[in-house]
Amino acid sequence: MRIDCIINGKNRSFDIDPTMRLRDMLLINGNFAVRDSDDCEGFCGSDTVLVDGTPVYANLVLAGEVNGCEIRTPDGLGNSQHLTIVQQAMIDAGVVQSAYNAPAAALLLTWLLEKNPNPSKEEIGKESESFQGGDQGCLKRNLHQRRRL
Amino acid sequence: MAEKLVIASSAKEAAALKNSKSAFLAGGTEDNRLNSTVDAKTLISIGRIADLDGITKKDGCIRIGAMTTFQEMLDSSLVPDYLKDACRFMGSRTKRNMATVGGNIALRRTDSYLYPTLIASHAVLELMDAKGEVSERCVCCYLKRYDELKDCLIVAVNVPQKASVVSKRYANTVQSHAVLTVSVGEVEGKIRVGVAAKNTALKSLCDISEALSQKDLSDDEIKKMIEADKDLRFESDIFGSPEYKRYLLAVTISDLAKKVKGGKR
Repeated sequence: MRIDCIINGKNRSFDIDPTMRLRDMLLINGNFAVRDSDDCEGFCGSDTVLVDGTPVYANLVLAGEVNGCEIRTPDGLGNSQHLTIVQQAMIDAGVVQSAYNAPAAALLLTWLLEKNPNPSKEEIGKESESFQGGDQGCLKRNLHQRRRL
Repeated sequence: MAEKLVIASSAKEAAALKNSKSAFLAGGTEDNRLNSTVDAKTLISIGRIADLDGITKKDGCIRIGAMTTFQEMLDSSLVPDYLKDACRFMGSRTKRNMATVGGNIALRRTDSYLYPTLIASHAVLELMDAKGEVSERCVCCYLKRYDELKDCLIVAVNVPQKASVVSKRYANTVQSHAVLTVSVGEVEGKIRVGVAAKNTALKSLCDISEALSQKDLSDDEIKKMIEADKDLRFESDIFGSPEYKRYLLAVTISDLAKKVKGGKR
């Protein structure tokens, strides 16, 4: 099946099995920051991407479902030479706990701050629910740090 | 994993395609996950069918399209608070962006987030058969007659706007599957008790509901009725012994019934 979509602002086309997981399709595209820390069980959050502006787990979406969609991944935020303000804030706050959830956390923080530049503590708490384990606490601390900047 | 994906463009097309070797693909949080309980060669994606979206109000009921996500229900001003309480049982915000009300109903998991609340509120499902004909079934009827209705497409769920329903969920963490979820509701003077007991049962406790509609019951009376229910054969596991689970279920029903009858949500 031919899949046409926009990934991080660029038009992309794939001729692939539509039952392939979206994360695997993104790896083919070179989006290595979309991690998989729970073997597709769907609770860790490291595979979070935005599909048409909504955070979803890429392992739980099939490639055939994103035909015509716009996808954002953590790879689209910045790079090692040019970090975004959110990525830099995560380093400054010392909350990059692992290379698994940190990219997805940066994406989710960016999404939240684009929607709401001044999130309340409650809103921060709600967004951090998307991650499992210690990364949740790190995410909360990072957002509080971001509020102070 | 499925071998084939079909993107349905209408509810009638999706309903006509369903057979024993296929499954509807709604939010994907169960169909696509590791160790999914869904075993299907073909997945019928219903994500692009506009008729399955939307939340509307009509004649004292709130009609929720089957593809409405947990987060959309939480964000809606129309969805009753008692149903929002059940939506919050799903801990992950991102998963709430994906998981749908129709998907949760169709799965009939014994750790279901929504079933106890839907049973207690006497929710009514709109089901479409392979011929495209739509019928209405209460959620308890859907559970009882599942073998007959399993290939029907869930189009929407209707819940009463005004109902007194309280729920309690027991799980290790907010992200964990629940060992026990209980809801007690009062709709038009009738009490209903819904329970989701992991690996044990997903059902309406009809006898207890009838008795509670007539009078107050003590914890011991509820416990005896639970012991007499042949579907509630708890097993000993990491969450506790059968005796403990029966005790927990009894005191929870008692506590929730007092809240419902006392008008406290």
